[in-house]
Amino acid sequence: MTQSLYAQAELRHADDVMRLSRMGAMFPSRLSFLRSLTRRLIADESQVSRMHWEMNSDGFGTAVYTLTLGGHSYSLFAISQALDADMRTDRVIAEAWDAAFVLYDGVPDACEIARLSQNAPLQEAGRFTYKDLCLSRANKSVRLFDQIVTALRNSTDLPMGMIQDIGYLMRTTAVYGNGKFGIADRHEIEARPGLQGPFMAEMLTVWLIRTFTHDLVEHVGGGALPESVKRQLGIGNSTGLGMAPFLVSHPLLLHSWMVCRETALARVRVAVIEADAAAQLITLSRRAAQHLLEWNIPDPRHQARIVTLRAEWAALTDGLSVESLMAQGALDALIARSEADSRDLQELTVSWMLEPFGDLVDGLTECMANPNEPVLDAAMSCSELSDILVAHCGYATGVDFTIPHASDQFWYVSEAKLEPRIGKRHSEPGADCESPLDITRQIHGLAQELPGHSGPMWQFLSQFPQHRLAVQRVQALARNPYSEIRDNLIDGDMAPIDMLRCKLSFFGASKFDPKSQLWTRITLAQGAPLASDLAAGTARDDWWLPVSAP
Amino acid sequence: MNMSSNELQMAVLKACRGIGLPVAQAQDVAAAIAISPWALKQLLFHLAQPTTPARFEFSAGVDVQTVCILRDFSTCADAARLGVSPVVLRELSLCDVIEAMSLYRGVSAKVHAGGVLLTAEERPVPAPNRCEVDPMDWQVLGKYAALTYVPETNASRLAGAGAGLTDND
Repeated sequence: MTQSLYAQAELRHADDVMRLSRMGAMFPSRLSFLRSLTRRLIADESQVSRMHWEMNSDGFGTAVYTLTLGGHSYSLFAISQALDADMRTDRVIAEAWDAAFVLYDGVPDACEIARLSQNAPLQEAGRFTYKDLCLSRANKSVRLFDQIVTALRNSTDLPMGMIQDIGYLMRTTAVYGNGKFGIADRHEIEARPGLQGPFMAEMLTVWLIRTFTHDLVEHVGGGALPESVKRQLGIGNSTGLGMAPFLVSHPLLLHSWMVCRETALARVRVAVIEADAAAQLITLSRRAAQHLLEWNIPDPRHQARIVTLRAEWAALTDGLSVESLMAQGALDALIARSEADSRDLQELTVSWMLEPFGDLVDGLTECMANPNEPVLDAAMSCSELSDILVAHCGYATGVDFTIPHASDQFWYVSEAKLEPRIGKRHSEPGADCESPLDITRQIHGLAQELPGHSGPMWQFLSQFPQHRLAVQRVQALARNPYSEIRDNLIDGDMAPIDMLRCKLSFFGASKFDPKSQLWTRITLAQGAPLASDLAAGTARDDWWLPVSAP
Repeated sequence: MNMSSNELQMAVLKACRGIGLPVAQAQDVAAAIAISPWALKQLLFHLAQPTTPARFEFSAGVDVQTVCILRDFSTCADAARLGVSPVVLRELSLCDVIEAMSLYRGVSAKVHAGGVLLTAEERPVPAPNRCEVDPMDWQVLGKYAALTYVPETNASRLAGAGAGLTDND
């Protein structure tokens, strides 16, 4: 990565990039996985066919959508069912949903549709096979779905204000992949063209679910939505704590995501800007301003951040011209200027800057998959490890864990449907079953134990087997600086929402709508090409930060 | 019961953590069983054994007594792969778990002087694959995994991430 064929500036330092406060300010970019997927769909000239549609007038029944990607056929199986209002919850502890989905390898026949109809609504309680690639479920945005149905039935105006505010007809509450509940292992499909990137099968699933939600509301409403309205209707998602541990348990994958993004920025900072790229940046700066205006959420703390960002964005982009952007060092100077303001502004600026430079940065997406895990260097000496701790782990060794606040929170899995939760260590039971997300504390503990020892690491670990994970992570950190979140994930002030936003931005999420420090709603694929755009050959990879009137 | 390899691997990981195994060692055991699922029954036996601290002696190679295979095999394999010789695990017999761990870590295990001798041996490691698992074994594995779960309270249920217990927004 450092011996690039492209000119590039210095990468931003991991001590800055890997802080929760910055990760919690990230925006989607052209490197986001959903963007990669739609570029691939466009390049492949993929066509979506609705192979099966058995739906009653209330919108309950089954459907199958099929497309070809990279020479393989994939199908989305969907089942929509009646759901009592008192059963509708987006939490993991839910037992039933408005709709359930399976991304299927190939085209399911009647026998397979019957099997999926039995098992998909059961979700975690069902059993699945190697033919099933992803499992998902979704609940309606009841107020928007019903309003659009009413408008279609009565041929009255669509509720455009609600469409803009909400942005989706259904929100998924989980998208399972990689072998869960018997579905196919990721390694069975990871080499297939179009599915090599991270979460590609999951992204394909949610993009197809979006298509289903459009068809469903039109079916129940008995009328057609304008294509421009459908493009504004993405697919929602409710995300809680279940998403956060992934970033901790896959450190080398996290490094790959972050280093690709940082490398993209480093290339763009020193890029020669042609007039068309400069003009595109100006167009996109206006779109971003419009997006920020349309992004309004109930949470006062996060809404205040958006309000601040609107002003900062206006100040940063005020007076930009094609000529000024084409001046040598103009983008680097803008990055430097943004650093005087909020991290929200800094990260928005990064995502914006990457947008016109597909030729420079899109190839990096091929480096974002990483199936490897840290491997112990058993020959490393204790003194070498000490040097790494000093050079790279100050964020961990400097924490004072004798202060109760520094370990006030603990992550755990509830026995209730295995819902991930966070507890207060000093006032709630369960810390003895703590999930191992306390990597910072483990590294701190290793650093406390190591002085006075010598010899190779395997000998040290024969005495202190409990430090093996920390040793692996520290060794990996020396070679992969973006592999660890450089914050204390059990600190009393730690906000999981920051981890969620980082991961969701890589998915391509926008319109973050945090409901607490523990969970958020987001919108995926808003503004993305429709299946009909692919069919017509008019699909474009130009939907960074959706707005109501592009 | 037909399982995906990741499903089995994650269940073994949780079960190993359930008996108090350190995370990295639990990961090694889980990865080993994922490529050698035939060792699962033997693993259940090892999960049920009480553990005591191992006694490592380094005067001539590595000599280990009161070994907990699940906890100590990784370090012994590290030594063997670095050419330390002999690496002897006392008072042990060869079993499916040792064979599975040996295959995963690139060592060979042979009977030696009332124990097991580990030496480095590069062997092709098979890719993990789907497998058939005895439902009874799966149930036992689940019981160990459940030792990592926290019983629910009304307070924890209400404090979970999400919009209360219903959400008809």
